Amino acid sequence: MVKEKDPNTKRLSRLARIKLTEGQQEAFDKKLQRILSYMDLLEEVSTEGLAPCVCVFETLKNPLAEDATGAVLSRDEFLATTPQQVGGMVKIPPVMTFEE
Amino acid sequence: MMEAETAKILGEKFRAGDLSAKEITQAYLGRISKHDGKLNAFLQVFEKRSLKKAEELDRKRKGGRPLGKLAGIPIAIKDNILLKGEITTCGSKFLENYSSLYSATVCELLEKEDAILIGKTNLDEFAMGGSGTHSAYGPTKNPWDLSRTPGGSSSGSAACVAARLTPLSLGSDTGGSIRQPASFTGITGFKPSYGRVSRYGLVAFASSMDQIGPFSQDAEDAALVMEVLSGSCQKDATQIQSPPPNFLEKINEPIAGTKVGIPWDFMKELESSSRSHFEKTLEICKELGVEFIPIDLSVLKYGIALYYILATAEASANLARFDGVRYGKRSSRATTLDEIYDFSRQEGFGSEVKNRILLGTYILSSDHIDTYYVKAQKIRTLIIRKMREAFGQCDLIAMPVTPSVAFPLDQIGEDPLKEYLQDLYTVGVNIAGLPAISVPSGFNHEGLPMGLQIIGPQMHDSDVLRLAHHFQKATDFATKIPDGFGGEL
Repeated sequence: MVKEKDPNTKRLSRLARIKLTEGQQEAFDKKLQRILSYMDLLEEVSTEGLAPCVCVFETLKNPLAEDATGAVLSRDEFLATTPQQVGGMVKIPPVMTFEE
Repeated sequence: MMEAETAKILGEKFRAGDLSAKEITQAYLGRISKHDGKLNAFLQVFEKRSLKKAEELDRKRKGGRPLGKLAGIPIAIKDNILLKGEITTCGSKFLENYSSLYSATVCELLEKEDAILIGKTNLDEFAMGGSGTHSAYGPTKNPWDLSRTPGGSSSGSAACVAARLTPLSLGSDTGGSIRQPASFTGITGFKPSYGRVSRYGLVAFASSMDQIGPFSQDAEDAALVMEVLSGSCQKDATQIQSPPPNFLEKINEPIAGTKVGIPWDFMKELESSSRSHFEKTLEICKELGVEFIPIDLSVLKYGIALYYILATAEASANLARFDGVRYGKRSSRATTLDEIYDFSRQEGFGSEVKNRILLGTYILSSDHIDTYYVKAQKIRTLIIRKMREAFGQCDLIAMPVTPSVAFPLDQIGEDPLKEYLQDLYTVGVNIAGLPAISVPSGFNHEGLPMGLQIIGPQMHDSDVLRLAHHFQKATDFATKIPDGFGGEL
């Protein structure tokens, strides 16, 4: 485990897509440092020869659904919960902008 | 007027025609109206919906048509479980106005068996927390002491059954969120084996550990609900498609001769009054013919660290869907797509949810994933193996539920670790996917409830319920109602 805990909350907030103020970044930095320091406890455990757990049921195989059409949400049902819509589509600001 | 009965007795009275579904529902709606202002257990009460269902059931009964297993019985639903056409907030501002587009399988199963869905209950936001104080809609209070937490994250579901505002409720348990509040509020809370109950329609927190389960007044009622919840679902790939046992029959099978393992080493830091209470509880079990053997589960001391690595990693992935685009909150400040993500999530999520997403993001980031996540998954394999070895020596395991009784609401400070350490005795169960129950085991010197935790091997849910049922037949802790909430309905 890394000894120096530098969560770098500013970077994490970019990765997690959550805007934080500077004050919030500092507060979260402290909290995360505390928690990550506690996790150093796991350094005591030898994991040699152990495979990472995929599922608690070792015998569970990935079941596949039948490849058949079934009931799906209609467009109207889906759009009923959309914050903004236009012409039967989800409306968002332009992804690309062009300078004049 | 009617007394606050168990679901089983209410169901019998309804079928016999002694009580109508409308009378039952009106009585509980009246209690909710009278008492919930003190507790804040409910986020929504379905007055019209529940009375309409009750009237349908009364006509069904009078017409001699077959009635479902939960006919006439009101049940509250934790507000991270979807119900079509109703708001599901997950205790978050992000989903304040989100009307569910489909129902969770568990809700469909309950309605098919004629349960009366009476409302949605308060919770720690997105099921992340152990105190009920992380809800965007205010904390729920413990009916035994309104200055204390009822526990979490299924805070409202526990409080409403403890105060007899409803005979049953559903919660979800990812690291103890059914068992801990059950213990804090003096009721029975059951977490099924992972894969026993469909998670379709449960808003995901940590998908490899989440399970839906019942809160009830006793294990017999929990068994009744489990007969309904265990119904097969083709929409949850992690549900084990094996027919469930007849829970109500199984819980009445004999218990004498059952071997119960006690991990004394793991509990060596348990505070002396809690330990002495636990030992007294074991004496009661001994009189039932249960044999105790010591087992080694010292590996569980790594449980909290492991749990908060895996659960937060999964949560950071699961909550990525809340991006302000297709549903939920979209920030009015956003002028670009990036700002929709950044501002909506800034405004929509509370502090604890942000904390866990940031932690999970750190754990899964490319420079740390091997150190934390992969290592934790290997230790998870070790814990599963150790639990299996323990069950090679015993049939069930018993432990306390929590290190302490319900703590004061104003004790929840800025240090998240203090709250996380409350999960010491519960997280191991979720890490290994095991069934476990919390049953009331008495009260401390302040009159606050305490619980006994019984854990079983994977898919031995009925064995857990069986010991709980026998324990409750030999004690009366499960019948106690907090002062101010008792009496006739």
